[in-house]
Amino acid sequence: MKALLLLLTLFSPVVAAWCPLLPNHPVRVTINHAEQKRQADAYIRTLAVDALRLQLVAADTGYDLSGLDLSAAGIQGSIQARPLAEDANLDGAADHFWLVTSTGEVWRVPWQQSQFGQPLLMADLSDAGLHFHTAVTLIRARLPSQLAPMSWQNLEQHQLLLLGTEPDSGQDVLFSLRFPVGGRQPYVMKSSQLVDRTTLSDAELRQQYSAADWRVLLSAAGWRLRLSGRVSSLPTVIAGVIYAPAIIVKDAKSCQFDKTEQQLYAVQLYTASQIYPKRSWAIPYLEQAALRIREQPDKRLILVLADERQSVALVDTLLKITTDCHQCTAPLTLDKFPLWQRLATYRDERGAF
Amino acid sequence: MRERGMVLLSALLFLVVMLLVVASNLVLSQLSLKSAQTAQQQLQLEFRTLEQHLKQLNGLAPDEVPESTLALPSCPGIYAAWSDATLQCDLMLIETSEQTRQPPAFTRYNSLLLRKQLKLSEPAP
Repeated sequence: MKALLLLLTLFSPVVAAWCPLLPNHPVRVTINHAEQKRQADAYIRTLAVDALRLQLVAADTGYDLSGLDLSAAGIQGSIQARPLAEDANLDGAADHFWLVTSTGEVWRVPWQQSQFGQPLLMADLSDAGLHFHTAVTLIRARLPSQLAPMSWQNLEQHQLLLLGTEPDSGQDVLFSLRFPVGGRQPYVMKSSQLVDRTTLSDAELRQQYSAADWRVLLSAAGWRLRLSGRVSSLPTVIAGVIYAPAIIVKDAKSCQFDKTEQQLYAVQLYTASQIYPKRSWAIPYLEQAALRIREQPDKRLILVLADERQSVALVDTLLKITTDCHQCTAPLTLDKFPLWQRLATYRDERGAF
Repeated sequence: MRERGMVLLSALLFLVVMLLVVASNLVLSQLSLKSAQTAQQQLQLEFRTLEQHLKQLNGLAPDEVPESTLALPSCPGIYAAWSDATLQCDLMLIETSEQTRQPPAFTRYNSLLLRKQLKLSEPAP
């Protein structure tokens, strides 16, 4: 009994800091199963205390397709974040799953021949002392060679976006971790290897930082950005810009928030630098709302915060980052889509005589 | 009389030899012409197929979905990346083939295309 009380006392700040604001639905993925492509839902199933299972369930029938006992595979602790899928070989089916534990361990689990493989620890952010509750997204991005640091051997990178909550203040920290695509991570990434982008320098605020400064930022393993509150809707990345609404925390322990307004953060995907005149500004708060893009009659795209009944326009002219320079942007319009890119044309001699 | 016969025989033999030489030359020249034409027609067929293939690529409708289309879970190789399924990427294989019966020839050109399109679920208010 005493041990139970001690455990409750120890974990009470963490439980209090974990005020769930974001939905944690299963992730719908396409996988290769029994030599055919199938739609499946991936989620973390709790079997018992400290007994979690990464579960794959057929989307059409609901039958279990496969599962991985996490503690037996070496992944300890609780997991609140949803799993994220990766298609490394671009065959249209997920071949790896990324898991984030509550303490900040990032694991990459292979999925081959209809079964899970041995997980590989990619990052350990437990030194940050945060409660990691949301895996936002895993993005496969490529930098043009003129913008990438010379040290990068692979221009194609995975960007993993995570959210962790500080137990005392209840504020969220947005993390962006970079992993080279296809290459093995030579080390386990730590929180101390990330650049803290909470405060920008004066030169950066005036958008006068140099290409050399940009490359120094990119040379780090990633960045972290402390937000002014808790993220209230799942952040979204639109054309290289991360949008994240954060609600002010009144009392972290009792999950009380200031629901009159919130701050919308809009930061660059690679460096968390500012894209619009301000990096964050006040927007209205909507309960259980989501960030969405809407098309305007003049083909402009705007960002709205919408729930089932109403929507509020947040950004009238969305910007996208461009490869012309390290801080170049351009308006995002619908008339440029769809974009066709010819990857290869070749003469095929199969069946020729 | 015998001498005349010899001359006549020699003349006949000469004529036969000449006929054989001329006939073989004719056959050879016809063969070479045929082979030259075949190569030329093959080149023309290839050029025509490539032309049609490029025309097919340029005339692709935005919503056209060829048979061999692979929907990718995430868009690869993009600098201004997106996080969700709003930006949908499809990998497509476009094929153009041509063949002729006389002379028998066959040519096929393939292209691998990446289509990026925005999928906005909600209409404009």
